[in-house]
Amino acid sequence: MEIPTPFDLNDAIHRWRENLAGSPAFRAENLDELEAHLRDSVSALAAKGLSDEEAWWVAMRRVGCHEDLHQEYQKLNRKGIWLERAVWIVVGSQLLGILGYASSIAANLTICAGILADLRGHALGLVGLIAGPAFIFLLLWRGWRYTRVRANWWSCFEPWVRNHPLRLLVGMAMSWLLFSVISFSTGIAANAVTNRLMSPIELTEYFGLFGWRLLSGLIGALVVPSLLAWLIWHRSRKTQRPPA
Amino acid sequence: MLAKELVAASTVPLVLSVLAAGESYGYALIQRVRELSGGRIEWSEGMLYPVLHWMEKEDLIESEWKEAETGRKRKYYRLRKEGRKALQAEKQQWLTVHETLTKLWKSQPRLT
Repeated sequence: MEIPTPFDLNDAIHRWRENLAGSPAFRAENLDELEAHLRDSVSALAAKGLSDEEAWWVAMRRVGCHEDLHQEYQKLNRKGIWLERAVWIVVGSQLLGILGYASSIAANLTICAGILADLRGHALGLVGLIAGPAFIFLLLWRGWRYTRVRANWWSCFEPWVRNHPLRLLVGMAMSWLLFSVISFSTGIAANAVTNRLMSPIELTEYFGLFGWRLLSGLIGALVVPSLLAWLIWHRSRKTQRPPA
Repeated sequence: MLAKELVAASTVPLVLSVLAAGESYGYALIQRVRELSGGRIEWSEGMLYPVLHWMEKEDLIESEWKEAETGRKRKYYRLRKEGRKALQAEKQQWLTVHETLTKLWKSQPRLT
């Protein structure tokens, strides 16, 4: 038989707040004010003789349901909502760019390592072809594992983005620049090494297979945004569930 | 209970009138209006805050976070100069409606 857990008001308020925080219509200050109102209401109802749990349910019902609050605050914070959407679009495109450069860096470094390990022609082309997508796959897999272990990552990350959009955008732009410079440099290094150490026949074989990289890049450009879009949609569905 | 439309239309003058007596916070505003109306004006509690924020944007009121005696933080609202002017205008309009209706209902012959 299941043992009922005692009601924890702070926990209930925290969950209620987290639920509302999933909507871009609410700023942190709006939630602070609604929380203060809820606490006042709960205290007043408890003083009238209601238990904490009863007072909580009455107070929550009086404040209004998630959809109604969302609608009213949306009218008020419309500009903020669009700005936030713009931030997410820019962050998404920057992230895609960074992932693309990271994939190139992984491929270029693997090619350099491969040629030092005496790989030539087809073998080196194949290694270069696989390295980039494999690195992205590894990164996404690690990211997915992280989200499984830290189930609250979204509720930590999202408010941070909302509170520091400029910091995030500048950070992403700097990372994008850094990754592009590293990708460009490693690309030059990989080309120099392959041109210097491979014979013309080996080079033809290498470039013949390595040309498939364009196709893998195209697939990556479709798969990665789709995965990200799915992840964001999945998380927002979870966080925007109306309070029971 | 009052009609929803009338409750919505009277929110701004009610808030302005309560704040004319001194600064207050959302929960206290709701309680004050409930008490004065004998429970006939029931605001959907969470919906008052967007109205307060709109009034703040319109420079009718201003707000400040303060710590209450309980140690809990609350956002207090108070009337601004523009708010006092708006209150006078609202008062004129509502009194005109009130007087007109009173005259109309007084001049009607009693049927019973």
